[in-house]
Amino acid sequence: MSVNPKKPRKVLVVHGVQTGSDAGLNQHKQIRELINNRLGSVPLKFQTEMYRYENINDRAQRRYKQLVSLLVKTPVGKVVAATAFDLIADVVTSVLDTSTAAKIRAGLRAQILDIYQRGNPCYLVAHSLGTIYAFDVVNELMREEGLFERDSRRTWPVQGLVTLGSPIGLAMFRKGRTRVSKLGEGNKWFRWVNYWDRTDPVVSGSIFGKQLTGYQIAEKYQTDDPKQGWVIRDRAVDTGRVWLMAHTAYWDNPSVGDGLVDMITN
Amino acid sequence: MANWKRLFAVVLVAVLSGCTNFIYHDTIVAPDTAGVDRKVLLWWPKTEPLIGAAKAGPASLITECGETLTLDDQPAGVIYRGSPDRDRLPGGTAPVADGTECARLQGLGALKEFSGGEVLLQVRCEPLPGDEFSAVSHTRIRPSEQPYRFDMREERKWSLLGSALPPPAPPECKE
Repeated sequence: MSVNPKKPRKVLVVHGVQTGSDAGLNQHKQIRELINNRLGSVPLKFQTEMYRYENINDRAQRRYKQLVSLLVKTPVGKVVAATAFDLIADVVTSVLDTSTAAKIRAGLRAQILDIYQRGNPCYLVAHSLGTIYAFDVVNELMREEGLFERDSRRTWPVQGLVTLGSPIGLAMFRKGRTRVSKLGEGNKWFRWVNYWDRTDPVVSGSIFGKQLTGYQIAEKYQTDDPKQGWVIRDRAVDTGRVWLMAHTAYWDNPSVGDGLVDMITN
Repeated sequence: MANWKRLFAVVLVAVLSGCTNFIYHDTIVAPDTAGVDRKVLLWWPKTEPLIGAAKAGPASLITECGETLTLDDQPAGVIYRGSPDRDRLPGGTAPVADGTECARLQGLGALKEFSGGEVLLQVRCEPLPGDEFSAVSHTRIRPSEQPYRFDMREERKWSLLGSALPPPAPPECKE
């Protein structure tokens, strides 16, 4: 199997921690608008689509949610508790690498391979907790025979990875993710660009949004091994907002848009 | 009493999330690596919150009908770090080592410290030829010993919840 560079590029968007259901998740529309705004007059055919996994999480958490609901008396308390539980349980699912996390990864992998079978070059854009699943699936695919032959980008099911507000620098997500898969010998390079706002608490782990002052998060995965084959860049991006609002402000950020256009046009 | 609560809530939100948002930008005309005079846009955002330190960047350098380069704050300054998939030194054929300094903004310490005026851009690398996946011409502002001068204009807006200002549009490619 191989992709055809002449076919429209697919930008597959993976959401992060969410409340509600799959039906309300349409960040791919924001990404489409962002790319169109920053593409200028470049005649590029592209499409965006979502990978949604909130319903998988919700099905797995249903019983626990009912229990939480029984423990809280007031209607407002029930809503607050259910929302908090929804968010926290999504993180716990990923950190503990439960069977639900495996299902989420399998779903993402299936959607990537579906795009691959159709022959469209695919670029992955993931946000927040979704970046952990995206990282895992890309690395898993790289280890498979016949995919990601380094000097033939046509064999790559994913042409590039963009992560937004990723918690991958936090110790709880480093377990089992100490290195990236090697592409082997060759001259082509897989690009990973990690955008993060210095006040984003999901990136820093500081609930009060204390500014991160360093420069490296994803780049800690970069090694000097020529067989690694990755070009990894951290980009501290000013979203114009602070604290939790910064975490949700990547979707329409023009600096991210410029970087995305650069990635999908190359 | 209710009015006092509302006022307190507004003040609290303003203190926690209010900020001044800036955009710095300028467009010059300069030769690209194919020898054609092109519009070249340099821009970046900056935010000064009411509480906490300023933040800014990254800077986008967009060449008309060509590539977009990203320059960001690094310990060594505001630089574009070249990579072996897209950069080489002028006249050479071999790609640069990953992280090679390929362009630098001079005249400012960090993007967040800038408050308007002149910025000099030193360009040291040229693009490698693209492959079949390239949808744009692999050209960019030409490397030069003499730095390019950008006279950065400032746009600013105060906002209660923070918001990115609309950036300048990329130079239109009419080819």
